[in-house]
Amino acid sequence: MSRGALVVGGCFSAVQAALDLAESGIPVTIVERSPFLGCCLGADASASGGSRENPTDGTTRLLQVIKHPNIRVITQAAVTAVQGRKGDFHVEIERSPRYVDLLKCTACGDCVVACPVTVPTAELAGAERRTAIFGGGDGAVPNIYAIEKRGVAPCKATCPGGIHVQGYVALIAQGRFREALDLIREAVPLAGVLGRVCYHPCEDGCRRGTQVDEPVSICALKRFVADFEVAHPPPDNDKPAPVAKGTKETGSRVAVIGAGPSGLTVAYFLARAGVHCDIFETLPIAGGMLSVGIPDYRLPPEVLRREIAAIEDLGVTIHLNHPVDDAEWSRLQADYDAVFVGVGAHRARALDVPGEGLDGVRSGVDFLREVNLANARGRTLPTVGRNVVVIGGGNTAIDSAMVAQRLGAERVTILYRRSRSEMLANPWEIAEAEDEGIQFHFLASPVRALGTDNRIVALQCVLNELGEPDQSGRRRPVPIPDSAFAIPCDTLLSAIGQTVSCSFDGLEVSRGGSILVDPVTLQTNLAAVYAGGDAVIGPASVIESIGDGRRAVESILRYLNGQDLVTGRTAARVDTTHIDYYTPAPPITRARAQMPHISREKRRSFAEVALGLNAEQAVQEAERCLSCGVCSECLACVAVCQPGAIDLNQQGEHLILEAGAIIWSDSAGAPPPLTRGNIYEIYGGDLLAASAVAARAMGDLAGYRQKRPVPQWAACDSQSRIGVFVCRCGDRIGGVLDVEGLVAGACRQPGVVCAEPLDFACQPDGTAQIRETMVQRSLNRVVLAACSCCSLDQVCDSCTYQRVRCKSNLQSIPMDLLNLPAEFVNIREQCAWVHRDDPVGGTAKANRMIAAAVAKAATPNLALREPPAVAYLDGRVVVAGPGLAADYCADALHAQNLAVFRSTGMPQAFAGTLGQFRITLDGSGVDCSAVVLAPNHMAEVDGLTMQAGLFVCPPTVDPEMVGAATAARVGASLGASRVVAAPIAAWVDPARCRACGTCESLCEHLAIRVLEINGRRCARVDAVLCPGCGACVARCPSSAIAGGYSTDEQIGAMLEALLG
Amino acid sequence: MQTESIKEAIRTHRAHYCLDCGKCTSVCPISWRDPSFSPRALVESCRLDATGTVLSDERIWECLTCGRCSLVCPSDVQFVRFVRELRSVARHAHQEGHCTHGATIQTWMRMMADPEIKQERLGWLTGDLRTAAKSDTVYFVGCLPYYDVLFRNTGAQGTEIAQGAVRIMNALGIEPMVLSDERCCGHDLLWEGDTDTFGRLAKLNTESLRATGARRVVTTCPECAYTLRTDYQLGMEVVHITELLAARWDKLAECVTAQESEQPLTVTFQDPCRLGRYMGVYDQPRQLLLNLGLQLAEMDHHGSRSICCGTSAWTQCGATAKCIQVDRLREARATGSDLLVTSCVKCQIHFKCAQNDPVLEDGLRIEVRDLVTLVAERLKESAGS
Repeated sequence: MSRGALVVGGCFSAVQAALDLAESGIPVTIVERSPFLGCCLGADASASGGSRENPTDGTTRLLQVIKHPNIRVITQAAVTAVQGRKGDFHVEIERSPRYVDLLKCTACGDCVVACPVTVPTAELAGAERRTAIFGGGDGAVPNIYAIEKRGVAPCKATCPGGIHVQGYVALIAQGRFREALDLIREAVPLAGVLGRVCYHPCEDGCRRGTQVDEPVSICALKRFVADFEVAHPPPDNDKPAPVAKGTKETGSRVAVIGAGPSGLTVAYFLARAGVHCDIFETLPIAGGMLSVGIPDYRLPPEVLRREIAAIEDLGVTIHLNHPVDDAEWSRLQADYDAVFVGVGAHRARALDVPGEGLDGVRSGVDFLREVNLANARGRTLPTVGRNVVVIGGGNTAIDSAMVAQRLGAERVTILYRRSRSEMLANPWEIAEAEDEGIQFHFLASPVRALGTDNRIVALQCVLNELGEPDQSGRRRPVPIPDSAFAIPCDTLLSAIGQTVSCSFDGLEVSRGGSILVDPVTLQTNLAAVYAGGDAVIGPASVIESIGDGRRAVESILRYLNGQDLVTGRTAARVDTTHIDYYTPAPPITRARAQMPHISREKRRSFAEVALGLNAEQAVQEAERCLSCGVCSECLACVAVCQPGAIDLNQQGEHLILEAGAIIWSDSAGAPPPLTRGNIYEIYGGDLLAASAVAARAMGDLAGYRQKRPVPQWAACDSQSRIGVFVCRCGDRIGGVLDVEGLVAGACRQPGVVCAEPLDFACQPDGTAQIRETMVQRSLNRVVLAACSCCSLDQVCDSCTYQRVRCKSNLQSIPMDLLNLPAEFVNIREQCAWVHRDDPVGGTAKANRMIAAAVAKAATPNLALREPPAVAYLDGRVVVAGPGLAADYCADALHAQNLAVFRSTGMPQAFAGTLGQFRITLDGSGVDCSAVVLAPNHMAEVDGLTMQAGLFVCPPTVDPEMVGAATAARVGASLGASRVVAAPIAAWVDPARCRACGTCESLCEHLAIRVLEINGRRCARVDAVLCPGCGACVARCPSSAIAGGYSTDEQIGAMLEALLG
Repeated sequence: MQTESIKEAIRTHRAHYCLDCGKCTSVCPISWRDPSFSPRALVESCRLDATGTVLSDERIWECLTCGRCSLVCPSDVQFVRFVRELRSVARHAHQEGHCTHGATIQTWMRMMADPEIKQERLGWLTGDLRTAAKSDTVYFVGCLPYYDVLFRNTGAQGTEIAQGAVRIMNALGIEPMVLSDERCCGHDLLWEGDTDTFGRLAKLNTESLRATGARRVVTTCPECAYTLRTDYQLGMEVVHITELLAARWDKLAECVTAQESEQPLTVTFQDPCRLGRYMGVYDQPRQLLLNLGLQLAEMDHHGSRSICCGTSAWTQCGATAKCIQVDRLREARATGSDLLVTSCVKCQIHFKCAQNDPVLEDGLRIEVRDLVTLVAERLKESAGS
């Protein structure tokens, strides 16, 4: 196993050290905490004096790191443990998820526009606030967006339905009401119902409530967006419902028994997944307890009807008045692939006191059902007496009392055996009941119903006191002896609980009658039968039933697909205790929004009491959200991301690394103290100091150097078979230019065998498509119209992460298929972007540019007939000069196992290039691969032209550092052992060369120099160093340089194609 | 056909009178550095050519057309005219010289031959410069401001020459016309053998110039002056500005401040080929320099023996050209002069380009100036106003 170096921190100085090591042939892993190299996030940046010195070629430098074959970059990662010592480290690394795919993101920025959450940018320069999904700005490397997601927000974690609560609140805060509703519907149907009757555990979890003032009024916000859609229907009503992932039109059929919230939810999601679904409902109306258990003033029937109709619109059939008896039960099991039982708990628990059989005594749930059914059918409402007593402490009791009052009762009393704090009813419902004048009689139990003429006239009760807590954790009521009393009562409604009212053959139930299911999968003892809602958990809430429905759907779909039901699932709630939630500082101060209510006088009818928020209130209320998780999981970015790069379920990674040396930059915080002394440290942003540190690691790891393989070289076929590929880049190109037209136009170019559009050239899928087409159509040249602007294996200021990625991907195509680099045409910037207001003109231009590239590809580059030059570097280094740095440099080079020839005198003569210098020292010639000069005064090296392989240690106050840093750079230039010329190096016509030095002054690669040969000065190209960029060709005033990237013949052919 | 054309050129320009004596080669600045080139040998190979292969000989394009050879030819062979015609023939055979700067300047010239082209030509005219809509003098600016686009970084002063010329004329009481639709005179295309484009340029310029109704055309570029005078049928008087200034010295003397310091500047003068050998204007610029109170120190080669600045018509500028320029700059420095004065913007550009050599820099250092800017900066504040 190769043992490399670990560089902790991605600041520029650390990157310099990594590049030195990697160039010298040592594998390097860079671990950076932030999503981007080159910037220092967090506290350490301020501790070290804020921003560091960024080299002027910063982005280029970082991209070199990205494309370097010896460097692996791990961003958003921290070293969690280091064991061992120098030469033998065992390192553990924790990598956080980025949530954006490094192989797919095109940095288009659409997600940022869509993201509704912003947080202040403490760490990143530029804008004052940034969105939850963010890029590093121009020049960030890797220029891949990242999502700050601290974890599941408590509102979502507490929601039994798993709604992306923070997400829709964030969307509402931006006025994006429809998107908010869509997001809710991703998780649950019946948003308008939930917005009225949900017991909203999310608000209990809301950190605004626990840490600032009052929780965000989440439930009211949900109601608002549902009502908003009704008031402002979308322009196209036939907008297709969003379709969830899963089986499509599978032909599977599922029966659902019970049209309550769980059954409706099952049908909703199954229908969206393409499964046929029939609901069988005993009652004459759908909705289950929603329609017959919740009074109309709380949940107007039209709200429910509308939302059920939306489910029916998905193709779900609801068979009303269709009780499922034994025969039907057998038929359903036979006719359907799976059955969901969601029959609810509609049977009232008996009061079990004498006189229970008197007229005027009945159960609250039956009473409510009768009232709702009567209201629904316009029939006569039941009558109640003047004095109504309701027994119970749950929501049914409260609802029964308030309905009784609406039916004309003069005095309604709720009798509860414990105290107010033990009541199961929602506190706000208790408050509303009190507000409407309902009387409460706590700590009292009924003993006997007293009647006259078989009709109740009074209720005899006994007072209680509270004893020890019982199984439910509430204090047990204990009757007080001799405390009996009677209250007048002509209607007694008992609401002390409900049980499941029906049973099915073969289905296991508990002693209490509820259906037994697996807690994770909701599968019953029958493999094809699933159950949920009140029928399983007893009388509970709408949202819990809906949550059950969702879980059952997951199981049913897996069951239908023959997959394991349990894998990856758990019944446990998300653990949020460890999450470091975000809190804005300071949070905006605004009181919780209150819904207006209708006047007390009007509450004698069944008109809805609460009136909902208006748009302004809703936005302001939503703005109170603390954005706990930062990313709200609103999925807006997922929706707009054309490359499909966002994966909110990405998981972090625990990595284990063996390293021979560790370089720790102070930008990454302090290194682990135990191993201090073994770890090399970089302080501050000085690149030279970083190289000096790299030199020490280089010495340690000299034995692990890997020689870079010489790329195989295949001669060009003279006959071009060209394939043209046109990248759509989502809308970035495809939305402006006529890609199909470009493809058709390219097909007509001479030499083109085929042309195809690509979705994203820089994604692995794009490369795979090119490769496949090359094989199928026997192509040997590729023209790729995308965003890269040159075909060279180099990076420059124009380069981007995506362009580097695209080229790297293409290098995976074997040489025997593609032995020349693809001809790139940058239609993204040069056509689609520049001419975004003129698509026709832009397309015409792209057409010509592609034609030019095709013409170039079709014109043989004769320079490519010969294999590229190779310079072998033998590792001999001359260190010459009296400077103090020379000795340190020589020592460091010795440590790298390089053959060092040390001379204290400066050389008398100097000739040659990297790998083949000839130096005259004290009258004798020395051959070497590289030269280090350490003069006492810089004047001694005046007139010496800098070139590859020649290093100068200037006189300095810190010769140790400069000497070591120079050794690192020498190691970097020699480490590869051999240097292979680009096959497209430039060449100079000596007759035309004016020796003006223009080329030499602009060549970044020190590849062209003006040399005096036989008394004549002329520019010469070192083919091993020349990448063939063509900069010198373009700038030579006397046009003396040719070849390189494009030969004159190729440029001529391109011009003809462009202008023709 | 091509061989016929070559024969015709030989006849027209007296090349068949060549005695093979080699005097031309002995004075040719190209031949001095590039032994493969010889005017005599080129004439010889043309005379012996039976198939037109000579047309693909790159040496056709090497000649600077400086005209030194013609001065010494005992048979009066008009070698430069012969070469010019030979190039035209070669061009018809799809041959061309190696253009510098990626043929940028040639492209400009050809663009200007388009009658429809609209130019922003007069941007260099500052508010203090007075031109007239009607005048008996029209100033033919030439490509001076265009060159600054390419050569400003060398320190070339094309725009300053144009501005200085108008300023001086104003001082002399002349408010010249300037043309917003002026074109390149076409000299370089003509001498490169592109007679077609030259013809179009000449036609457009001739129409514009005649339409002014002016009597006289003044140029600051010797090549413009020679071309307008010789290769156009203009029917107007064409003078180079040095001729005008020398003729009007009496008036000009009142307007300029002569050198006053005890140590007058010493200058040497580079004779532009077209001004000197082609038009015979040797004395006027020298007289002007002396009148300005400057010391004149002549180079070894001066007057009719003067050496070309090394490149002609933006073609074949390479190692040989550089050598000529380096030698000429060294010759100028050897005079001990403070300034190397010329009166052609191209001489200035070529010398300044050569001076940019990072290695030879110190050995080539001498300030290169145009005579016009030298005069213009000595104009008194009140002159002409």
